[in-house]
Amino acid sequence: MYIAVASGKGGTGKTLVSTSLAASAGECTYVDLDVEAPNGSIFLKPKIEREIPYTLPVPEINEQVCTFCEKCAKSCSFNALAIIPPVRKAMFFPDLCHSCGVCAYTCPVDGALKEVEKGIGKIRTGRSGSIKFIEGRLNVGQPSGVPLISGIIDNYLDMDDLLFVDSSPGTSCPVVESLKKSDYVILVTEPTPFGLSDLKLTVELVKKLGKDAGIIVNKDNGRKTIIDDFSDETKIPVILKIPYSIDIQKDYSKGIPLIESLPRLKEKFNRMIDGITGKNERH
Amino acid sequence: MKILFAVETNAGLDSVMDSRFGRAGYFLVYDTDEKKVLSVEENRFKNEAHGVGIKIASFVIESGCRVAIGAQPGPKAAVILEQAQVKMIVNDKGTVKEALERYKEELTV
Repeated sequence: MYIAVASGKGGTGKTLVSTSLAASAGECTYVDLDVEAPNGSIFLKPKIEREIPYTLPVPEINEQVCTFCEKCAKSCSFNALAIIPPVRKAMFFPDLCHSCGVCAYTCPVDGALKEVEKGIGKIRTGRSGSIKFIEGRLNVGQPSGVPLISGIIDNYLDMDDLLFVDSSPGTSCPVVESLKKSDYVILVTEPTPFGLSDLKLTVELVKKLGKDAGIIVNKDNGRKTIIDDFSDETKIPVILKIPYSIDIQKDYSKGIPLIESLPRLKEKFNRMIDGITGKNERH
Repeated sequence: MKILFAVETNAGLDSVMDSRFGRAGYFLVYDTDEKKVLSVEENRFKNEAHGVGIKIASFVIESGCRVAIGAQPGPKAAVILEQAQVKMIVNDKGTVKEALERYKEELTV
């Protein structure tokens, strides 16, 4: 079962929640798909067993062989190639390339255009006790983490496992990709106008994707808040509240997992996981 | 010599220069020898999401113009034009007539 953890706003506690879910469940897989800033490993401290470079095919043009017919550039939907016949030059703009391969497919000249593998990041796998650990790490300067995210989902995840998937903040492509295959989405927020505003955006996304979702309120003050009102309006349940506590903040800043600083939360997390997985079975 | 102008409106020499290069409304080609407008083409790449500059730079090269006058092109278009030895004159003020006059003045200085 694929449980994704998302939030519109950054810094609301996605990593805090997803690492706590994994640590509470024990037998599960933690997947860090926040590939631009993966940091679940700071809490789970996994022993990394494999580090696999992740590459994508990109065109490489041999100007000695190329006839500058421009078929490749004209077929490219993303305008990633420029052919300049008067000066016999071929130019490639990697940040526009989507690695679709159509340039290589349309090139009529043998040896003029070939696809070469270009590294965009790496996948690290390992274990933290009984938790399987998988993480995507995008190279600095890469324009999009989406191929790396989909590469992990398609090739490294066992959908029969209990998967806790940490996504990046926001509502754009990397988040969509991280949520697409999920069975359930946990929306982490905080009881502030900023938390609510961004939660609303994420709820729109989750609705568009047709996913089941529940809200976790982090830094909760123990009172009824704007998040409860929103939950009442939208019928998206608040499934857990994590108290605002200076002790949690102190431990968090040292990389100590939440359920170690507040062990009583472990049972709450497990009950919540049972609720989600049980709920899903009834579908 | 043929010069390409990136313009907002289609009104011959009275066309207004566009404040954008790759996403300009029209591209006007003027011949300084024949002293007339050779062609005006609507920018069909104007609303593409990505890589407009690349398409337009290729379009400029295909037009055979050795000089292009318009707003500052983006970095990709600029590097392609440079490679193709097309001289880019950044000027997006006034009309084609005025931009042409200014270009001629600068040439004679």
